[in-house]
Amino acid sequence: MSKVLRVNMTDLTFKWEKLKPEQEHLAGRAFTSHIVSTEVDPMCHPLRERNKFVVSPGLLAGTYAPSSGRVSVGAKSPLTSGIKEANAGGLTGTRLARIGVRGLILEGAPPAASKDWYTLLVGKDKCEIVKKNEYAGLGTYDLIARIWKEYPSKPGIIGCGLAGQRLQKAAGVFGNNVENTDAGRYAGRGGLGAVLGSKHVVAIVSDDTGGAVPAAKENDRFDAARKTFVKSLDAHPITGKLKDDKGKPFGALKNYGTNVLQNILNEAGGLPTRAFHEGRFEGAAKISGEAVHELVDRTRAKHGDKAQGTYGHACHPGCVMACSNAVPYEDTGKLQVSPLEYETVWALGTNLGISVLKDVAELNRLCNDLGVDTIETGNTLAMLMEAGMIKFGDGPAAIAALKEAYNPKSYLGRLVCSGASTTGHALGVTRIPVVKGQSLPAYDPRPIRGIGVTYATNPMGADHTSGYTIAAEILGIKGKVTDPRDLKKADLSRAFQSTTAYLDSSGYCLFVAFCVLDDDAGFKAMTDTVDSFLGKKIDVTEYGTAVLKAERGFNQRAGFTERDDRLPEFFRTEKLPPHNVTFDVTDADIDAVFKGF
Amino acid sequence: MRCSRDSSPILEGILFPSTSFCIKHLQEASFAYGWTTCNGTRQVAHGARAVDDPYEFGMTHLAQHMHEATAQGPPRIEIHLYGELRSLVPGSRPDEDTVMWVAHVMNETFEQLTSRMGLTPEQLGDCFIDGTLAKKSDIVPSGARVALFPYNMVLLCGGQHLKGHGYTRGELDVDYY
Repeated sequence: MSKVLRVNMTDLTFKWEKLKPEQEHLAGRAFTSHIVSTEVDPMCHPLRERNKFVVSPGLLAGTYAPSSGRVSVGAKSPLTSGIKEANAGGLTGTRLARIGVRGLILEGAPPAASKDWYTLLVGKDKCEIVKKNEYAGLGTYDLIARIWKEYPSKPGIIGCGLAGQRLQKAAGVFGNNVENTDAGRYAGRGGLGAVLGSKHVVAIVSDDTGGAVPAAKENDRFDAARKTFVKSLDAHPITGKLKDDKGKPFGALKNYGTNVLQNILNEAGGLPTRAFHEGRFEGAAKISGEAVHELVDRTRAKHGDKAQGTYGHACHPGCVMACSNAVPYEDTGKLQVSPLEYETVWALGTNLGISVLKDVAELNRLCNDLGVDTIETGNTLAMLMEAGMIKFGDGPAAIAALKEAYNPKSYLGRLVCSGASTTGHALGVTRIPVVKGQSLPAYDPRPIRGIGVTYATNPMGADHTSGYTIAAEILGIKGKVTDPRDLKKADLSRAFQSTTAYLDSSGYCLFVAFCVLDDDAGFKAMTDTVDSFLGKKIDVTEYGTAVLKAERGFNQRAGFTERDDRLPEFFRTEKLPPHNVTFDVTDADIDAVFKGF
Repeated sequence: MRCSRDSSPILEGILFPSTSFCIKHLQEASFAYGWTTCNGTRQVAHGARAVDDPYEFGMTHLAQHMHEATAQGPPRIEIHLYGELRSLVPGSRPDEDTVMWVAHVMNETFEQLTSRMGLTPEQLGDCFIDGTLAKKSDIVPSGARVALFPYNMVLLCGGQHLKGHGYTRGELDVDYY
């Protein structure tokens, strides 16, 4: 029986609640957005006591459904001032689900003058709010190591780093990886780490000792569906096995990770380069997924068993796609950072004109350690470059700027953790790539316009994962309608956004999508697992649309209007080479996405 | 950057798709194929003009080189290779650009070009002509930048069925090669 843990950080009390009937089918993003939209005053200050921080494992987390262990966090965002959900892998989704926790709601806050910091320990039918001032101020690598030393049950950990503890808007929510070697499993976007910091909670530690695998309502059907789904994933060249029968690289995600996209977007001319000035990066190959693969192989050959680099790394228990990686230092073979994903390589590499893989990986490690979102931080560093304070391509200078964040008295350090919008405005930059205050990710909306519509309209601010229209839009590039589906952008974007909201609630990683590309049986197996788990038929689009309506409603009550659903002006006025196009979707077409919602 | 004009059988087929084609173009102009090793050592074949190291200056310089070469010789196509397709250029590395130049053939389709290279549709994933996703029937223009990704690099197409459920279906005309 799933339940909800409600923790009051004002008086340091907690209580367990039963799921309400209307919440039984809600999990992950659907649950966090339900709680935030129904319990949080949209006009509240996001970093004060009236905001709530909500955690919810995906519906199928903890089960044997493949790649279904994602965990969502949600709150009113200090970065966008709207509703926010972000999700990640790691251990916490599985741990919480196996002790029957559908949701964890942190509300209230210690008095403003309080200097105390807390850790929340959640186990089977138990919760402890423990004062842990010694955890505050640590880098996350040290923090997770200390927690596992103190709690030998190998718990899941999510929390906020230095940036979150200082209430800075680029702060993400970190999570430990399966091996506890890196706190790089980030629900990074929207500044939710600062919301956790505002509750004075450094870490939420989940222990599933005594727990059990969640049972499906229709167990035989669920079992059959998940097995079919595993076969689909394993057989597909994107999500499949590491090598083929001849020993050649097979599954793209296992071999190259999400950063396989670096070269693909570069060739598509949609790879935003040097703060969205160009669509191709001459250094893309040096920081690509292929380059990481080669580095791992090279260090394995050089350092043997001591080499810690890997690809085909699972981000959470039960993930069969294993798109994560561990990037080694070339000279020692020791772990530098895990994972190094496409969006991060773009934000901290391509976007800054940096093509030295070691520098990009080091920037990622620093972001992980400080507790900041890599996309937001990359765009923030780009503002420093745009303002002429650092030269594009200067990796060591970018690293030095980010290291300033360890010094609590450094103005620059505060700035680099404050997000691109704050930093850009402070530095007099007029090309600030944000929507609703959140930085754009790694697909330029000028040659790929549908993703621009998603950036503009989705409730989270500029977010590619909210409606990943890249494929269809690549086909429709340069104004020539080659897309045989012949859909207007509004319909396309809304459809993608709705279905993504469903996936974000299921616990499935978005990348399960790839295997059903050519395999209808895989798609049916995926929906069958959800339906059989709940014991009722769920309409994918209806479910996702309901989530979006709740989120849009919250934003409207927070004061958002159609004018907030716009890209920055420079995307309409500056042509992006090599296609030399601007973002030319009309405001009317953008507003059509949620017309009548 | 690793670029190549090589003497392997498969590349003979690429550069000289037929005897008549080969002779015709060789008679019209001296072919200007060359490649540059990763340490910048310049090697030249068939009368190629020596140029500065394109590795150092990346695509901009390469484009200039292409322009100069095209002005003096027959039109060519610049092919960027990824994944296992990099093996078409001996000595290529996955952390460098792997570029091959082949002769342009008037009105040649993308399917014909890849066939000329000895590649089957099953070997290919997402591919591009001048930054636009390539279809089999697309004509490859002179001077085009063609990017070939292998079958297991199709991430851009991934997810249409699922994320566009109800809108993008398998029976519609989408080329996956």
